[in-house]
Amino acid sequence: MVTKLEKIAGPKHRFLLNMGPQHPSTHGVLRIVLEMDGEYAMAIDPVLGYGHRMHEKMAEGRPYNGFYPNTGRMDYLGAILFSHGYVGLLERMSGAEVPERAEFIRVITAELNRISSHLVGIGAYVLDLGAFTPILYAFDDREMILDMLEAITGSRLTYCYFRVGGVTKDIDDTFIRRARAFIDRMRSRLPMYKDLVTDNLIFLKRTKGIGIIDRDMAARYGITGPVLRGSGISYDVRKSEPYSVYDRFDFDIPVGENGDSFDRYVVRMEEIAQSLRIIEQALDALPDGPVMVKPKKKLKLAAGGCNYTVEAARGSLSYYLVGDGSDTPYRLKIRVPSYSNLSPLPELCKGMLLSDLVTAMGSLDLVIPEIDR
Amino acid sequence: MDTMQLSFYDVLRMVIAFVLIVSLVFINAIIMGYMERKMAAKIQRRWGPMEVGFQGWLQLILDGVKIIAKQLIVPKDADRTLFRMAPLLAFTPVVLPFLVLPFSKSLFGRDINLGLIFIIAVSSINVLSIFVAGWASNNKYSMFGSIRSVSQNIAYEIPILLSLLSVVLVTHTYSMQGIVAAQGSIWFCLVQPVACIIYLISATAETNRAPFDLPEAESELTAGYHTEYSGFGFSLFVIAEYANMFTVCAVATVLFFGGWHGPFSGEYLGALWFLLKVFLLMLIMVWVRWTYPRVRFDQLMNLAWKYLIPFSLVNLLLTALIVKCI
Amino acid sequence: MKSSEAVIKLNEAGFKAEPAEVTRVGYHVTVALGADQIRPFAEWLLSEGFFIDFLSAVDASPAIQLIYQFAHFDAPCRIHAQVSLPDSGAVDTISDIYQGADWHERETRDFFGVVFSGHHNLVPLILCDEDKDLKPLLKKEGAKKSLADIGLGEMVA
Repeated sequence: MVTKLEKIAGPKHRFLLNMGPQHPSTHGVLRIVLEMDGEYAMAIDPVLGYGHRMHEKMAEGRPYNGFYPNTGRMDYLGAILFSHGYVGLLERMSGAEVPERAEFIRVITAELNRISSHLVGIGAYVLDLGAFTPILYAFDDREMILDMLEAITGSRLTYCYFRVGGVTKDIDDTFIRRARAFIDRMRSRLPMYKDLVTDNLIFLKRTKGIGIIDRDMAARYGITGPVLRGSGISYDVRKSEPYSVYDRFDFDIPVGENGDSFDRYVVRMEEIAQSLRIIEQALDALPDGPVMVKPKKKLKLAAGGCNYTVEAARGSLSYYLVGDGSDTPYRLKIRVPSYSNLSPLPELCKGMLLSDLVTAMGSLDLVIPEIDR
Repeated sequence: MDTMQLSFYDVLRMVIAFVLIVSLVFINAIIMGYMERKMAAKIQRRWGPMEVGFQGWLQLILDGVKIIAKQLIVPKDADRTLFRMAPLLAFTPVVLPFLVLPFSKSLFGRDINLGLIFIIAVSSINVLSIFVAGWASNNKYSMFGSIRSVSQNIAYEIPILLSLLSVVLVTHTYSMQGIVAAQGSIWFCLVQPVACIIYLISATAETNRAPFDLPEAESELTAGYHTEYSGFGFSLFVIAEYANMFTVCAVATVLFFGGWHGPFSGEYLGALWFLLKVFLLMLIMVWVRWTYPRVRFDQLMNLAWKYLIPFSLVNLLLTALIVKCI
Repeated sequence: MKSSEAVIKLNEAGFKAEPAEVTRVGYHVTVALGADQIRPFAEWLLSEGFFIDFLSAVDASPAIQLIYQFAHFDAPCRIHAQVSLPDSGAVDTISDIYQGADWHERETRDFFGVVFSGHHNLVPLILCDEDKDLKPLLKKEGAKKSLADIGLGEMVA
């Protein structure tokens, strides 16, 4: 793309703009070096690694059980979803039995976590567009989830609740009552979000047609999650490779039409409604029984590679583990969704206005510690 | 023409007026700062300042003390003189319009017969300070902010002037008192509704308030032109912004909402009506800020050049025709 | 594309593919690739509409194993390919076919020192410039195990 200015002045007038690592709209320590032509970003180079903790190396140095807390510290907004993948992997490799009640509780808490993550994603996205208020409404709703989960898991953000063979603590009647109250409240709040944000003229003008991702681009970059579904592709690991007990619930995969920033936002909004449906069905069908099978003293896994993929809040999350017969992983590869969702940024935002770049990047709903895992 | 004779009384009056106006600017900033925080809190379902004094009303005074005590940091490669001058430049022009504002029938600084033109002329100096601040900071984000600010202010001064002119066509005077006096029976927001709406939109843009706060769009430009400012330099910009809001709302009150007219508005009590109207308008600006997202820059320019300016021109033309026919 | 169909098509295209027990390993098809087959393999996958899930490596003796995983948007078909790193320490890049592999390859270069020949910008992604040859995920001599010991032996082409 050649801008008007460039035709007159040639490429010499371009300058570098350093966006981040401390910038309000990168939401974390992501640095993006932009080659600017006036307000147009002509070349984009994301610089990663400012918050890298090398979880993959950490995993190799500790027993399988010792890695539970780490899983919650990659995607701090969807900690339960990340630990779901890890315990799922260990159970697949060890063949451990999980009581049915525990699977249901896992689904309930995971979906609650997904809602809370989407609420932050939506709120922060609208904040990027300059509206201050919706994020506080979103946090208001999220607070109820955090309180609920705090009561049963003991933490509010970086949960460490799932174990091989079940979950640490059973849910009680108070939790079920609060969860049902939350479902009702959230359903009554969704029209409010629609009025306040989705139907807002300025919001529509800012997001429609910005940052369009098509199927080919999604395949080339491995984009997954709501970002992919915004482009009209109904790929959801919960449906395509059902894990846990997701195949027992009736829910839809919301998809967008144009694959622009607006569709990605709407998909997240509708996914909240779908997650509410799953939680409601799970609460209705919640079986009785234990929530934990007494695990063996020390978990040792046989040699061999194994993969486990779950749908995290931001897309498909894969754990690939190579065991060597000992009690520590030989190699643990974690495929995080935001990493692949961020990688198209240089292609997606080439030639965009700085404001549109913020719009498009915000719609990817990035969590940087997940990328710098 | 005689040489001007300044009596002691005149000098005293000027000094008192100046002191009152400068203190009004600061008091306005404190009141608006408090109102904005409380209003934002109400909109966002939280408490806002609650700790210092009843309902936290002393919070802004404490903040002021804290800000004065802060160190002024000048970036390494900044233009030191300009960098220090810019906040002062922002502050000076916002004080001047208060001189001609008619607070009540008898409470005003000067009623010059070009009052309206004086206000517009003086308040457009404000953009210079923003530009100086952005340039002197030697920061690309500040530069972006100031460039945006200049083009935005130039674009929106035209519809402001055009919409105000259509009122002047009706009143046949630029004098602020004259315009207020002409609204004894009916407010001009009913006579000139299009001009009123255009003015209110443009005024929001002219004061860089959301949803047109592009010069300081924090998600894009961190803080725009005042990214590098700290302490009192920064707060002078904020005070100037609030004073600017006061000015544009006062002009709106004078031209469209009947100025100091209201029940029981005698020689001086009209000031209460005037302030009430001004603060109500400012509250609406605050309300809008905490409700809407920010527009994009090209959309902002389109709004001015493609809609507001043509509409205000047509409105002016129609007004001229009607006035001529009557 | 169904996974059974994918196995047949892959074998027709000249890749050594086998169905895998998905409930045990979590992917549907395993492919044992030669180092020279990576680019044709990636081109075939892109033309069939697969997306790249991840790319990584496992350090073992005698050679580092590169792991490629692809999946499909429309049907449950996860393809797992394993490549033994040749003695030259370099394999062909697929970052011009699958642009998403760009960062994965740079990360693998950071962690294992694998060179992807033909990569347009093989500079450190995660590591800083001073530590660019740290290779943190390589095993120490004593800790390195053979392919048979970690159960990846049967997948070598």
